[in-house]
Amino acid sequence: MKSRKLSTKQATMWLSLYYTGSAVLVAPAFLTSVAKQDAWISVLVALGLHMISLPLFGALVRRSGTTSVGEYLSRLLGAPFGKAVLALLLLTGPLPIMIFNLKDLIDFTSNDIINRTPVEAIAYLAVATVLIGLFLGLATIGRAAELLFPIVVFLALVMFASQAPAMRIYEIMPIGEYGFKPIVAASLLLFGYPYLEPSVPWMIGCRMENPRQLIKALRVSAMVSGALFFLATFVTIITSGPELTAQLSFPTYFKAKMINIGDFYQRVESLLSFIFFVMMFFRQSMLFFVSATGIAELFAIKNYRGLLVPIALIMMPLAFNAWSNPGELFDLDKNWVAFRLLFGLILPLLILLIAVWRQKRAPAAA
Amino acid sequence: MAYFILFTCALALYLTLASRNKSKSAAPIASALTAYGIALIVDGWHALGLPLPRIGTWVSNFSRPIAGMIYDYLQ
Repeated sequence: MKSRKLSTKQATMWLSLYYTGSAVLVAPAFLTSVAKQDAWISVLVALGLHMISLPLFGALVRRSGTTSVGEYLSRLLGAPFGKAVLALLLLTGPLPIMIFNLKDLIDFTSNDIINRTPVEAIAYLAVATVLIGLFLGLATIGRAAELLFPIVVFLALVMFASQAPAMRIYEIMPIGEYGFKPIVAASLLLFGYPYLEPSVPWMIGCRMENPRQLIKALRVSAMVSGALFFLATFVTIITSGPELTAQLSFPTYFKAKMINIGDFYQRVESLLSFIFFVMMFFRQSMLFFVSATGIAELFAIKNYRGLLVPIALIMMPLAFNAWSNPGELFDLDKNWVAFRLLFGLILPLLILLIAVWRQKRAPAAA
Repeated sequence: MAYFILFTCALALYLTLASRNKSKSAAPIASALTAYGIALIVDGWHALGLPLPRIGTWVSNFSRPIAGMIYDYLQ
């Protein structure tokens, strides 16, 4: 019988698609709004910050091993505090991210692809696909990631290469015109979304054949997603210029729509829509899975599958109301990093410090 | 939206029956019913056009002071 756990390769590919998610469409806009023509440098800085933060999560994963996050926290902090911290991780991590991602998907699809379709229909179909996948199991989604990952990367490269005729390298000049501070400020935006979400991969670590390989999977997936962010940002800047890029909601899609080589090679944006839906499927699947298993652990429910449909039903109306206008979304993009620094960096750091302190105290007490 | 609520009720009933067949314990039924109950309340609330929390705005307002400090420093 085949293993029901994720292999390292499957986890790497799933995580790559998870990280790239919707950010590949919106990242060029929010990065260029802060760092202007230097936004491509901020992608590299964000990737560096993520790589620096990885050993922290590595230490947590090594300590929890094959135990689930809820069980590990209960053992470390005692049942009431452990469950409280797990609830905090869920309420500040996968649950709001899942709601915002669904809203992103609804906004993109209803604004740019199928304008007259009711948003409810789009949301139900998107969520139903994820639910079917999760009812089939984690390993099934892992195998789907193995199948679709090469196709997604290939199509993304084709789409970026298709923009070659419109590239004007002088658009990135002068490099560093506004100094280093805007570059760091922009990189924090990308670091917060999507990289600073450690509770999500941490919770799937125990579902891997070898949980210690999670850090390797995170490192490789960060490189892959970072490369896609870099290409998306760099190509969008050198084809549209920083001013136009910063004003668009989905600049990557806008540029793909403009591709027209000899009035023959056009409508390449369909490739991007396909890539986007595939990546959103994997992002939503992971967020759904982590939320359902986390809530199941919190309330000591044996099978997480019974929670999938109710979570979807609760999440959808909340996603429709996540924000009322693009101004609020822009505000959220800017403030999100502080939220993630609190609950995605400081909270795991505190957990790690308590774990180290207890480990040091144990032999002394003995 | 009304048929959506009916659909939810039907699913709740299905899940209740399915979990009763699989386990003799009442716990899966109770947990499923609770989860579906909450879902029904949220969806019913939305169907009636009553205001739901704007999670994005909440998160934004909560983290604005810290984000403000970061960006003030980086300006």
